[in-house]
Amino acid sequence: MHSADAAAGTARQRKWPSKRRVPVSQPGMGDPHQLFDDTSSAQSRGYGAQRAAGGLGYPAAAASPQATFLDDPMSNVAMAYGSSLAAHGKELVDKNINRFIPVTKLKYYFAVDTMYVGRKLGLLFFPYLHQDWEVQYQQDTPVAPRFDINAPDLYIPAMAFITYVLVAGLALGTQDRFSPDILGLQASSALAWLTLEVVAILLSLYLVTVNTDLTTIDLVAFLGYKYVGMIGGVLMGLLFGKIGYYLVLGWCCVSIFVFMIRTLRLKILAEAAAEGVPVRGARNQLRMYLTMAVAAAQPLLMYWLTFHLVR
Amino acid sequence: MAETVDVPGDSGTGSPRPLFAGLSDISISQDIPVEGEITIPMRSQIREFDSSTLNESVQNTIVRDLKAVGKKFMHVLYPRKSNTLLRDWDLWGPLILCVTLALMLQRGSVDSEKDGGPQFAEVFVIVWFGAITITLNSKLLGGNISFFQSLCVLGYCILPLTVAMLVCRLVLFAEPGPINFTVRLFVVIIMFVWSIVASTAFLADSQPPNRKALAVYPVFLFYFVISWMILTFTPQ
Repeated sequence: MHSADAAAGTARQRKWPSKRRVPVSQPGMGDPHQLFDDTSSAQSRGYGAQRAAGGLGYPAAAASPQATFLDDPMSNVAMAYGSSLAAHGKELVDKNINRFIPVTKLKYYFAVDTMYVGRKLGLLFFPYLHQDWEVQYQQDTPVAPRFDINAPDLYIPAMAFITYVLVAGLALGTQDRFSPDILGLQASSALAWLTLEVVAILLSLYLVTVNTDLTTIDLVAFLGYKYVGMIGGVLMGLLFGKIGYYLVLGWCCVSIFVFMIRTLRLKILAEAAAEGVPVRGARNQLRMYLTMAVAAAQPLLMYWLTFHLVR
Repeated sequence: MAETVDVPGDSGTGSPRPLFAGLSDISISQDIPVEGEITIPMRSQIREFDSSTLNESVQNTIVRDLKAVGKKFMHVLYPRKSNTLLRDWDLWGPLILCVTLALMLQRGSVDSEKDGGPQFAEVFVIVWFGAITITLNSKLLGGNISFFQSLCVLGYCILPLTVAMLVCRLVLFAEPGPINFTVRLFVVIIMFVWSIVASTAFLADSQPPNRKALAVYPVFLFYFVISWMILTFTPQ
């Protein structure tokens, strides 16, 4: 096999006395005294190119620049270093992105399916008959939203937010007040209100020293559910005028109020109070007030963000 | 074959020789040709292909790329179960379509602010950020389609809406009126449905069946926005 390179490396071969049975030194290899091929990636690439270029009698113009480029062991090393640098860079970027936006945690909130979305939307509009609001756990980790209707998800809030911005643009368009900048304005103002809410609630949770497993993303998910009601109200307002808007918005406000109270009660209040047993004590009362305040803020914001869209 | 070295078989006579001592004395016989070639066809073909696309004329490159784009247009216009769009994705087609759409949709002059039509950059931003948002949503839902493949599919499926834009532009040369509007509405609705069907044929396959509707909804919103912009377009 080694002597098969005679065509390619003829000039170099003659350096070695024919008596000695050593492998032919190939320009692609680093060490001429190696008894076996070095099949590490960079070198074998160089080796293959050398073979192909030499063995085929390929038109010299096209092949030889590459052949001589990959010839040089230094450029093999450079290629290997460059690819390892790229891999290292990619790792670094992934690690840093995971620090700011926890992608794996986000994937949990998007583990939904159509049945869950349908039932959750029904729950948002009519939460009065639902009995069990407890989130199921499976060995300390909450179950994916697909399997438990009480678990928060981010698909509905995200889609509802985008739909709200588009419906707002639609509503303004029917009143001849539309221009594409307004879409951006609506989106950023709604986002600003959401951020304000999240910060305010996190601050008050901190001040009341509540020991809860309510994460920030959970909170964003819960606060995003009100956009569904807002969309319903605005659409009805477009179809049936102010009467329709007020009716549907009123209904959605009450529903989201009840929904938030029942969901947050389990998260913020202690076990005893969650079961409906009234517990005396300043701490639980404070938590109760906090829950009520959060739930009452939702209808207010729903009205504030939509009343200018319906004339 | 190499000449064999005679190793003394008997163990009793003389001093024991070290192992492989005579190996260096083996020589290759001069009169038996052992030359030849070992080629690696695959590798050489790859090399050949790479270098030849660098050296070909510009016209060849452009014609080849245009043919690829045209082939994908055909796939969009007649949506079948094939994964040509997915396998060799490219972003030339979406760029051409987006620029065409934006050029046709932009309002005439900057002075007429009250008109409400989008500027060139606004259409561009809406199309590309909408496509990126849909792709992110699809990936978070757990689809097994890559980022650029999804952008490619969404971009190519704007083709029916671009055709609708051309038709609307032509129809608007006739006298304005309710018939005019009805015709335009009809054309835009048909092309909108066609876009959604075309993109669903590619995108929905990448999701498990209990999530297809969830992935299709943002696509519906995206093409709805573009159709709305096309329908409400009025020339100066």
